[in-house]
Formats: sequence, C-alpha cells, structure tokens
Amino acid sequence: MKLKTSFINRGILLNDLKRFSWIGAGYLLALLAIVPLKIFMLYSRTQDLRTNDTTAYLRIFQFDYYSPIQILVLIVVPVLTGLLLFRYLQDSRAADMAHALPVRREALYNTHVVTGIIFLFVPLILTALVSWALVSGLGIEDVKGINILTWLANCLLFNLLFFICSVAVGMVTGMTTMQGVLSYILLFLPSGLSVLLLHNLNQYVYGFAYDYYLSSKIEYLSPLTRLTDISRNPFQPGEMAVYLGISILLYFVGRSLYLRRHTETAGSAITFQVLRPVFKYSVTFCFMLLLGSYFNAVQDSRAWTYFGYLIGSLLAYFLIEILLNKSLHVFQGRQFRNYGIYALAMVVLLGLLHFDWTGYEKRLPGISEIKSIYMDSSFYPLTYQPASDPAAQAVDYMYTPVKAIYTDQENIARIHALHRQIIANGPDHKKPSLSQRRNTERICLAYELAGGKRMYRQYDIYIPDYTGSLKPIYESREYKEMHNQIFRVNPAEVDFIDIIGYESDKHLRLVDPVLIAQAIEHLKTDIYADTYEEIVNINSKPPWASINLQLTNIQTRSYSQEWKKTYTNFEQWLKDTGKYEQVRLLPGTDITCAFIDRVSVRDDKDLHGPYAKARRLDLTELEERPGILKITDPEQLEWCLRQYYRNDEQAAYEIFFVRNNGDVISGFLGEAGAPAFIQEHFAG
Amino acid sequence: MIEIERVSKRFQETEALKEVSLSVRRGSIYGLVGSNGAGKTTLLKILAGIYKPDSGALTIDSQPVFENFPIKARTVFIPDAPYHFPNFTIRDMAHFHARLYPRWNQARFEKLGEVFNMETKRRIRTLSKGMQRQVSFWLNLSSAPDVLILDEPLDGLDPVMRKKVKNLIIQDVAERKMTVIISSHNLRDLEDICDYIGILHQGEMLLQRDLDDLKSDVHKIQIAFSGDSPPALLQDLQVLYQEKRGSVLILIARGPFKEIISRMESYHPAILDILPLTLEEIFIYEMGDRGYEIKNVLY
Repeated sequence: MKLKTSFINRGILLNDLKRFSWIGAGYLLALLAIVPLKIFMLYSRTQDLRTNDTTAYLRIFQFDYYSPIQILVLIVVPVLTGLLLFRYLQDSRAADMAHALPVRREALYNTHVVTGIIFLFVPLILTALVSWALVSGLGIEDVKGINILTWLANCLLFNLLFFICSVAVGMVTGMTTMQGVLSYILLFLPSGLSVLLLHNLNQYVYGFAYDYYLSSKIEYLSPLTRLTDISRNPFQPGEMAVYLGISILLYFVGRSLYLRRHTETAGSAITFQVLRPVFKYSVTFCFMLLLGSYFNAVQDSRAWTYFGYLIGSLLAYFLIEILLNKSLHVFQGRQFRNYGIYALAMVVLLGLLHFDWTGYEKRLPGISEIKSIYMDSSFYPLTYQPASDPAAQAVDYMYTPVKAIYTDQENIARIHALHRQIIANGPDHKKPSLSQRRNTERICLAYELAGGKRMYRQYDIYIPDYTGSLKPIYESREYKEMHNQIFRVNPAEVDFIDIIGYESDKHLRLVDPVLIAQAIEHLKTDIYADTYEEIVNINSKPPWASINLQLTNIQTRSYSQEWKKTYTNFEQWLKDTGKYEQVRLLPGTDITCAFIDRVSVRDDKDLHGPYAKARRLDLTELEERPGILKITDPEQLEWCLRQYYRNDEQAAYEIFFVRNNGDVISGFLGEAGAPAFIQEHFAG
Repeated sequence: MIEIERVSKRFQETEALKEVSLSVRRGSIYGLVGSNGAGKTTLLKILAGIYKPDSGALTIDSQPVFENFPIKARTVFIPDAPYHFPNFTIRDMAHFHARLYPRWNQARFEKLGEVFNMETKRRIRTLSKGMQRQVSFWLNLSSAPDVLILDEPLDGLDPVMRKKVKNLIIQDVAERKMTVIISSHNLRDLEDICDYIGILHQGEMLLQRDLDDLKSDVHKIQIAFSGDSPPALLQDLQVLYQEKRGSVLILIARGPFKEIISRMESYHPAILDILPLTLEEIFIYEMGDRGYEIKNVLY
C-alpha cells in the first residue's frame, strides 16, 4: 500500500508514457523541423543571402506571420495532448475501467497532468538544446543564447497554459470534441467577447470610443492572440507571472472538478448540472452578439442588427438545448418560456443602453480641467507602439505616426466647442446618402484632464455641418505642424529631394544642401498659409508635383509632400532658381491644347469615371464633337491647368488637356468663377 | 463482508436505484438478477467504487469503497463489455495490472494461461468479444481479489468456457474465501453457483433469498384423491399457487418438507408426487405471491 498517498501513481505514469509517447516523439520531430532544420537550411544557402539579412536567423525564433507553422504547432499540440490524455474520461467504458482501478482520482489527475507536461516540455527543451548546439557549432553569431532561452521560455509558458486549459475544460464536458472546441473558445474568449461587446456598445452609445478600446491591447487579453504578438512586444515579467498564475489556478480548478465529477457523465455535453444553464445562456448571449455584429457590419442597419440578435440567440439557444438533451424534442413550452425570459432581459438591457443612464453620451469636461486634447481621424497614432524587439523592428517598416495632441489653449477651446456641437447635434440615424458618406469623417478625441484622468470619444461627422468649427483648427499652426512631416525634418539629414511632376515625365532632384534647406523653408511658409479648403481639398485638385525628401540616416526613410498649386512661395523660389520649368506642366510646351465641354451624361460617371472616359476618347472624335470649345491660348490654358480638379460632384464642365505626346489629361471645372472665354462659348 | 444499506442513485431524470440494501457474507456468491434497466450495473459500479451513491452507505469489510485504495486493491470489477487499451497485447495489459494491483500473482497468471490458452502477445482488441472477456477474467483473477464483481459475465462465452470460468470462480471461493457478486438477467445462469439471489426491479430490491433455504422450502406437489379432495387439505398450508388438472391438484407450497408430506399423507391421497422445482419456477411463484408477474420483471 505504499502508493496510497502518492501525488502520482507510478503504474499509471508508466502506462501513459507507454501509450502516448508518440505525442512527445511527434512533437519533437515537428519542432526539430521548425527550428534547427530551418537554421541549417538558412546556413546552407549562399553566403551573400545571409549577410544581407542579419535578422533572418532571429526570425526563426519569432512567433509571427513568418512562422505560421510554428504557431500552429504550439497552439494545436498542447490542447491535443490534453484531449488524448483525458480521453478516457469521455468514454464511459474507459472511464469505468480507470476508476475501478485501485488509484485515487487525485492521483489519476495528477499523473496525467504530469505526463502531459513531460510530453510537451521535453521536446521543447531538447529542441532548444539542439538549436543552441547548432548555432554555436556553425558559429552563427546573430543568435545569442538569450534568444533561444526566450524562445524556450515563451514556448514552455504557452504550452503549459494551453495544456492545462484543455485539461480543465475536459472536466466540465464529457465529449472530446466539445473539450477541444471549448478549450479554444475559452482561450480566445477574453479578446473575442471584448470585441463583440465593444462592437455592440458602439451601436448604441453615441460617441463611444470603439476604435480606442479596440486598439488598446485587446489582443493581449487572449493567450492565442497574445502569442502572435509576443515577438513584437515581449512578455513582461508581470505577464509571465499572470500566465503562470492562471496555469496553476487552472490546475487546481481542474483537480477539484475531477474529484467532484461523476464518472457516469462521460458522453454528456456538460458534466455539471449547475453549469448547464450557465453554458446555455452564455453561448446564447455570445452568439446573439456575434450575429448581431455580423449583420450590423454587412447591412449597416439597426433593423438588421436586431434581426441578427434574434436569429443568433434563437439558433444558439435551441442548438445548445439539443446538444445538452441529446434530443431534437426541445421545442416545447418550457424551453420557449425560458427563451422568452432571456429575450425580455435582453430587451431591458438594450433599453438601458438607449437610455444612456450613465450620462456617457452627454459628458463634456469643463474647459478649465483640460490639459490637452488629442484629435485625429483615428486613434492609431495615439495607441501605436513600436515593436520593442529589435528583430521584429527590422521587419517593421511602418513610420512612427505623430500624435496630434493639442495643448494650445485656443485650439483646446475650439475642439471643445466642436465637441459640444457634436454632442448637441446628436446621432444621425438616417442612412446617409452616397455624397454624405463621402463627406463623413471620423473624429477621435482623447482628453487629458487635470488629475490624470482621460476621456475618449469618437464620432463620425458630416463635415459640411462642421466646417465653421473645423476651419480655425485646421488653419492653426499647431495643426499644420502636427500633420506635415516636413516640420520635423532636419534639413541637414536630407540626402536629396525629388520633385516629380504630376501627370508628366518631368522631375528634378535637389542635392545641394543649401537648396534643400531653402526648399524646405519655402514649403513650410506655404503650408502655414494653407487654408482649410485647400487642406481638405474637397474637389481633389491635383498638385503640380509630389516632393520626396530622402533622409540619409540608416533607416533609409523618405517623407512625401505635395507641391500644391497654391504654394506660391515655393513656386517663386523655383522660378528664382530657374528650376520652375523643369518640373511643372507648362501650357504651350507640355500642353498643346485643351477641349472643354459641358459635363455630359452624368448617369454612368460612377461606373467609369473621368480616367476611363479619357482613355476611350479619340482626339479626332473630341475635335468633331458639336459645341466643344478648343483652347490653345497659353494664358487660357494656364488658367485651366491651375483650376481643374478631379471630383466631378459639382462640376459644370469637363476638360481634356492634350499633352505634347498625345496623352490626354482629363478633369472638371466648376460653374462659379469660370472665366469669360468659357462662359461666352457656352452661353449660346 | 459486503454491506449495502439504503443506497440510492439518480441519473438526471431517472432514479436508477431506490434505497437498495443487501449484504453478502464472506466466501459466498451473490447473484443479482433483474431485467435490463433494473439497476444491476449501477449497483455493481457503485460497489466497485466507480459511481458515487447519492445516499446510503456501502462498505466492504466495514470500510467505504469510494476512493479507498486498500479496498479497491483487493476488489476487481469485470464489466459486461471490458475495456482494454488500444493496441495492447495481453502481456501489456498484464504488466499494467501487475503495476496497479499490489496482490498481482504472476505465477497464477501464467498458470491460468493454460486454462485460457491464448498467446500473450496477441493484441486484445483483435480478439473476439468472448475472448476479450476471457482475457478480463484471466487478468482479474490473477490479481487474487477478495471481492469479485461481475456484470453479466457469462454472456458471450461458449458453454465449455462458461463451465471453466465458473469452476475457477468456485475454486477461488472455496480456497481463498473470495466473495463474489454476479449479475445476470437470466436466473438459469446463476442457479448452479449462487448461494444467494436478489431480484432487482426498477431500482428496487424485490426480494433476496438464500438458495438453500429456498429450495428446501418451496415444493411442487401433485396430489389426487379418489373422491373429492378434503376441504381441510389446504388449511394452515402456505400455498403459492394451485391448479386443478382433471382430478389432479397441483400445488406450490411453502413449508418444511417433512411436515407437508406427512400432512398430505394423512388425507390418504390416491396419488402424491413431490416434484423438483427449478430456481426459475420458485421465483415465478414467489413473485406471483407478491403480486408481480415474473415476465414483467425478468424477461
């Protein structure tokens, strides 16, 4: 009787090792193929391939989209191990046999858990050792011991959590398939449910800062999504402690459930009577949110959202009833009554959301307590965090976006007023028309208040309604400095500037540091003078050229800036330096002539657009078109070149410029401000 | 040895056992009879420590069974469909048993091999159902249990093997005072080996009898008189059943054999025959006496 009080049972352990060692062996093989073999494959390629990319080796130890198979294996194997080791619990014959043995339940549980950990940990440790031996044997200096150790630690931790989670879930259900499905649902639930809740709250709460909460590390809540990000943002000690803590907790929860679980529940969907309603209503709720969100996203209508709620909850409710009762005879009075009670509760909940009982929608901080306000069309710059791992950073080509945080008192007052106006106007429930949608923009606000409090809001506003409020903000120096990269460029760091003519073959490269500095200065002056209308550029007026500033520093980055037609300072400077004609389209030399016509059949414009039309147009056909105006006068051409735009919404005339090489540039002109030569031609 | 007192067990909606009590003496064989769904398997699984009863007490050697390692180490349970690990050979399974049962007797395992006559390197799952069941007997008897719990064990065994297995069980009972509880839906299976019989019906214990008592206690009598039968004939006699075929009266009566005979003879019958009763017949009449139709209970 020596084993009476042992933590594990030796006989069961040996038997597990004998029966399931193929799991460990298979896992080891897979890992060896994923890590050391890949190192060797990379090593065996040509020399220059290797020297080109110093992070290539390190990337093997990353958990991102470069190593999907590694992630897949890390996610699948631990859960599968949990399923296989506890498979006997879900089969009544095997469960009877196991529990008739002279082994206490606790020892059975502990033994299987220990076996699982052995099967998962030993291959991982061996793989790390082999990789280390390979790296030091081949003299690969890019990979340090700490990289391998970090990889190992991450793998061990995630494997432990996934495995224990699958084990604990196995105690709650009596079906292996359910155990697998529920394990992954549970692992994904913290993130998934948060997204669903946020998405649905967003439908009912005006100003709800959905994007902010969505981007604020929601993926960190779920271990599955956390794993894919772990190479960009490594585990912090606190997180490690939490993962370890949750694993230990799940071990004890699983053990306690095992001891309480009745053997005869093998085969039933949920093994504990008390958990059945919990399971039923949770799934119903989640499914309701899921289908509601789906229909909302696809149909973008309240009615469809409610339809989604109804269908989702009904489907889930009765499917779960069928699953729990293992019978199709669930469409009975009692079930319908319970569903009715649930539906009523949901209606009340929705009503509460509509009612705004927390005052969330109307809340506006007092202007005196505002320290700063972030305002932009998304929360992305605010929540952006660069990868903290150098290997991940190297493959991360994104620029660090600038956080548009306003501290200027005047601007704070302006934004505050804008916010007040948005709140006062309230949500617009009407389905917006196409042009309304085109002119709708997202405004994301983040207040930093006295006492360190923060407040986040987001709105989709119809811009024409708010022009008066937006204009002074957009025209402020603060706005312009934040939204134009050029203000952050040190002219000394600029290697060269490329000025590339728009819709022409003309381009110019500035390499002289003096000229570079001058160009930047003049552009800044022009940007400061930019008006709201030019910034918004609602008619899509094409610029003269795009300007690329190439930086010299190692990151080989470049910034882009437009040479708008209103940038007269820059224009004058180009003229003064004699480079003007090298970059912009000139009437006469570049543009031989232009044809102007009234905007024709408007009904097919959305289908084809001006570009398509221009391409189809034959020059001779244009010339022969009755009533068309052909201009060749350089001054008239110059006026047209400066004024034409791309957005046909308020256009009165179409214009086709003919380039000296025969290409056609097409655009539109408005009625208002049209010069005499056009008005006179079309008057009769 | 085995004491079960007012044990009840529910499975969700259905009540599988309702306050069942029974006791089995050490070294005896208890037969549990009942139709499908009567609760036999549930009761045996509770006894084997697989299920936990909802209420009531259950002891082997005055100790509770559930989670009791020392008791379970000398108790074995052979279910109606024994489970063996996939791909395991008989030898693998024997190793497994040897590691788990402290009283495993390797010599006995090898000796029993002669009876069962199978190669130990055969994979158990490739064997026929009957042979798999033999393997279960082989393995479980090799761990020298004090308590052997058998759920419909003889189904699927051929008559020769059935006899062999029965002999093995009886041998252990005789030599080692092993206690056996065995279930069947068929009384005839148990007739020749059981000391006790309990009949379970819809989760309730209908009746329990010591077979020796039962057989010496119930008699089938054919009696005929030249004239009318005397009116006092059946007075003070416990008659379970009577039937008249022509002038012959058939009686099933309970009571001491000698007393009944001398009583009958005192009326000078023309014919008096005492016929042997099968166990099945006894139960038919016993239960009829209690208002149960046996075919509702056992078939």
